[in-house]
Amino acid sequence: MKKILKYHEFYVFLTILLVSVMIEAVSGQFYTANNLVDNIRSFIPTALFSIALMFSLISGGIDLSFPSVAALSGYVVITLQNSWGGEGSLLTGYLLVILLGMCLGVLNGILIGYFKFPPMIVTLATGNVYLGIMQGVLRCHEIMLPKNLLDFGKKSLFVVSNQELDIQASMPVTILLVGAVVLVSWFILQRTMLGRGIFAVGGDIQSAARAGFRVVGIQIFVYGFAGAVAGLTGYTRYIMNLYCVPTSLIGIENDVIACTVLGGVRMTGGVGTIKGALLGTLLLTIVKNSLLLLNVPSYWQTMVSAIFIILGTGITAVQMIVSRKKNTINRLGEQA
Amino acid sequence: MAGEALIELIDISKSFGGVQALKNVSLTIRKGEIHALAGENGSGKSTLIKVLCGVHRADSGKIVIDGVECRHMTPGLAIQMGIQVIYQDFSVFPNLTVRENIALNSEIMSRRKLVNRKRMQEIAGKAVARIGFQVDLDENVENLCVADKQLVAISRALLHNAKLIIMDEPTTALTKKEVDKLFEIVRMLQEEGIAILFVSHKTDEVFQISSKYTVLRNGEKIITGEVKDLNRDDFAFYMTGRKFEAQHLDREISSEVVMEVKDLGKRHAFSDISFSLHRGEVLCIAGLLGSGRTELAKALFGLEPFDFGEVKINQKAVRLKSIQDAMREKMGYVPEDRLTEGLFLDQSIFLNELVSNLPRHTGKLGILDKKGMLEEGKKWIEEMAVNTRDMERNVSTLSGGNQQKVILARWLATNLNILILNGPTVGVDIGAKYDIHRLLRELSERGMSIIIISDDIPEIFSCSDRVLIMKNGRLSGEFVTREIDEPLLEQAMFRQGEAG
Amino acid sequence: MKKIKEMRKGMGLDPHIANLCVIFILCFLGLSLMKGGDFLKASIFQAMMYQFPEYGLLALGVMFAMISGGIDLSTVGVANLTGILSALWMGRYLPRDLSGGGMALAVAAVFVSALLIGLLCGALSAFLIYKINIPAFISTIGTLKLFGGIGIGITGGQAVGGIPEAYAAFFQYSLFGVLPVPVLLFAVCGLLAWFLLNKTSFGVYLKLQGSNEKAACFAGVKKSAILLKAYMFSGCMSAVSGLIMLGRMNSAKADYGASYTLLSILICVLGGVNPSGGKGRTGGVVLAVITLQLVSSGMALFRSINTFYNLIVFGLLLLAALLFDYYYERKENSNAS
Repeated sequence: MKKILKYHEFYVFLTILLVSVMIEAVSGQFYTANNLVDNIRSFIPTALFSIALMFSLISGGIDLSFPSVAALSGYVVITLQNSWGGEGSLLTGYLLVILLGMCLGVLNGILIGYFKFPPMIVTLATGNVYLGIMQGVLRCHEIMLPKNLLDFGKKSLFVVSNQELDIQASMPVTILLVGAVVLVSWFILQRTMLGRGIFAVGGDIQSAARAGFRVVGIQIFVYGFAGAVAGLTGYTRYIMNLYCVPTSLIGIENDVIACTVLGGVRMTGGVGTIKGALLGTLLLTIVKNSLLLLNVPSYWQTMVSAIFIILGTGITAVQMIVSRKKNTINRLGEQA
Repeated sequence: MAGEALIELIDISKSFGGVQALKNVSLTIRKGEIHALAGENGSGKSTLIKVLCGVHRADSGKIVIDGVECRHMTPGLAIQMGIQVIYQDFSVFPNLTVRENIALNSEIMSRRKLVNRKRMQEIAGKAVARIGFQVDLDENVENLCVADKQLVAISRALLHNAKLIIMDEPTTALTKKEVDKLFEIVRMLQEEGIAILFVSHKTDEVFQISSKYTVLRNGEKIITGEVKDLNRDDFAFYMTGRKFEAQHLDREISSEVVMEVKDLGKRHAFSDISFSLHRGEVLCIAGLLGSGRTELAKALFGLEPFDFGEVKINQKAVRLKSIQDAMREKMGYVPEDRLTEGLFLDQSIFLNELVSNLPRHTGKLGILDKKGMLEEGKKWIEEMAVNTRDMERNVSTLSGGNQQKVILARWLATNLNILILNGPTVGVDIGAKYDIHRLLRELSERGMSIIIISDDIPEIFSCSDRVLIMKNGRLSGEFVTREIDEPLLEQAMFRQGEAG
Repeated sequence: MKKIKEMRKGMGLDPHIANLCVIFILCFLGLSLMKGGDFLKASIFQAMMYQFPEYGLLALGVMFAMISGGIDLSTVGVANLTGILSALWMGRYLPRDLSGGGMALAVAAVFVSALLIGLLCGALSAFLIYKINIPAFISTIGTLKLFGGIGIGITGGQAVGGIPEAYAAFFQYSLFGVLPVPVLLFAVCGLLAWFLLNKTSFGVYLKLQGSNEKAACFAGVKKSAILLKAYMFSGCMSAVSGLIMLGRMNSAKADYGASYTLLSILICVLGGVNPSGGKGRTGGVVLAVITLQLVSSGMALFRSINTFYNLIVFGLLLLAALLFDYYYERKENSNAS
């Protein structure tokens, strides 16, 4: 039982409870069905992104290009589907976007895995190249979605209504997509040697090589997978918004990094859990959405998420120092 | 103990570019033998190991394992033939559990794609049981102490029917108790017929645990022999080709007290420490790892400030809450890992030499006198005979030996009152060790007071005037070195008051 | 080929700087050939000189942060916040038609207050890094958002205007008709940066801190003091940049210059600053600034290429710089052994 106290995720969970209770106390509107559903709706794309980012962080690197990969892949596929007659098969769309995202990600993987360039700089560069392609070469603009996709976007799992406020909220079908991605990612990370290899590379890349892990292959996979998930997410986001605004994804990396780091995924690599990333995302989503609920002007959101980033990482950093000191004391005590 | 030949390296030669790393080196290791491979930095011992493990391919020569000649040695083949290497950093994954650290290797080798927790639990459980290692398999390795990390590495090494385990500098970070436990395990493995090859700098290990030894120098094998027929002086001669006289420091020390320490204490580290340091004296704080000696040295330098007591320098009580405080009192500190923690590899040679002397060349507004710096830098390069044409080049372009010289020059260049050295010759070749000792004596003769932390008995006699023994965070003895002899010191350090 | 290398080494040129020179010259020649008269016009160069100081100053700040072993992503936030605060107090306390001596005094006062803002912002970033031990990357993302958030909070997301006309006029003034005030400011700051890095002990300590933190600690380098100074310098550079942006656009908004963050990192890496710390030359960074400006202005001349192509070119240049380093290292190593 005591072991739970050691886990970062536990504290995030507590914070979520605390925050939600506080907000409920102030506004009385938090624990309403429609609010919860709304929160989940905002949660979906960010959660997917944080899983994509998580893979690169655990491997000891970072992928800053995922917003561009998402925007570009989604845009390209929707444009294609529009030009094919506007019917837009959902399955084809998803397959294409995953493929495209994966290719864009694999480029990152090769530069980082084979050439061993610093991940931050590589992904910064490729992210901008992809963005430039979308905005410059393709001259992207807002476009309508093909009918099938629109229908999918409007589809809901169930609808809840709030009698008091007389509003309704629908739980989007795409939450199932999150479930699928979570399942696949969990399986890869925890149940396959490939996944353990990602942790190994993030823990100590030299030892990983010595142990027989194919380090370059693992890194190419990591960034390729991140790209695939990013592509999938971009596409999904456009669909959920019922409209494709390619520039709407620019600049979200900061928030996603915040969510992931809040969730206990270490920037230095080797450590991170899916439930942590999800919890971190949930916390930040709730905070941001609740600001609206509390009638706080939406532009304060940036500041609040800044404070959360600083608090979250600060507490982790302090925790690490404290535990290191404890270890030294224990060791000296043993020898005494 | 000695059985049939297990590994035979016959006439191995290897060169890199134009440099001959190994020249016709032959080495035989028998089953169940504990063999020490010794040699200075650059002698070729790591190259030999890498050839044996298949990391490098020899230019000529044969590798015969268990009577089978291995023509193209690869890391995979080496493991198959039963050769396991435990590197100095243990090659563990701090962020993974003990179970995973132990079992992952073999899972990879069996080409598994999926993780089977039960199977890994079995594998890991059997591995730790084999050496009697009690540990929580679910614990993350980063939370283990160094000795336990090493045991994880050993457990892992034993999984593949290891016939030979190569240990690279295994005892560097272990306390005496941990070293004893390690040797117990090594002897247990020996009884099972597993051979162990120790690659070591520490002379004492060679004598304590090994039965046979081989010395390499400059890529050539100098001698292989039985440890029981070996003595320290001969060993030093084989390693360096030079004869060393065991020195015993014998001189008068001034009575002027430069530093006085009274009732110094630090929670969980040490307590009631009192002593004085005289001008021109070399004082050794001796004690085993874990006795609090390092913490004391760090406290004196303001690195990890003390909680109780006081320190007086030149009769004035001083504050030592930070490194800057200590440096203001003209104190200096040399860490154990001189090169990694002392050198700035991507900076120039002359900068590395003068880094502690910058304030002297800094004028008003913080402006540096570069000309003065270059002049002084040149002076030290000449005086230390550092082999370089251009001191503005990166210090990384120098050889290891020259890099040590740069660090030595740094000490010489400073105008310190008190210099603290933590393990002055750890990891250093016998030849360079001698140079460092000579240097310390010179510095002290010039008036510098020196504190060294060491548990190397010959070193203590060679360069210190007085020695304080620390045990369990307290002072347990004080001696003037010229009044005692080695056995007495050994007993004081290792046996006095030891519980078990 | 070997002779060229010898010549380069003889001139004491860093390989990065040498390559930047080559790129610069090639671009210049290329553009002159392709666009001729359109390119070699005074107005083009004038326009360039008004643009590059804004992000060039940010790059100087990031350089200091990078050399210290960290990075500063908050520069744009500081710049915008400075612009907003300065615009607010100028708008409130100064009459719109202020001129002459009064204006000169006001400008001086604005500068002083801006520098103070820069110092404080930089100090906060540094504090998070050395005291709370949050990695620089995250700390400065946090402060970026914090300053941005404060900016948005104050302005409600709107642009702030209403500053004296003479303020903008001051920044548009050209010395000798050729050198605009922004370029002069950049030159002064560049010289200051160069001086601090190469002529003072601070510069040496900064490099040591970034090169090997542990060794620097033992050598007596005070991490807190060095990081504080480095990030405060960055903050000041950002503040000055904010003032220049205010002068150019005659208004301040919380989200101006969003693309400058990437650009400043790109400039530093292109200019030879080592992202892991310890190395960096002001000359390289300045040259990178000018070269990128040349490339960007040059591309603007081509009607068919829109500004978004800049992103592609900059990204590719960054990758090219990395590839160049990679092959250069390989050659050096094989030569050495």
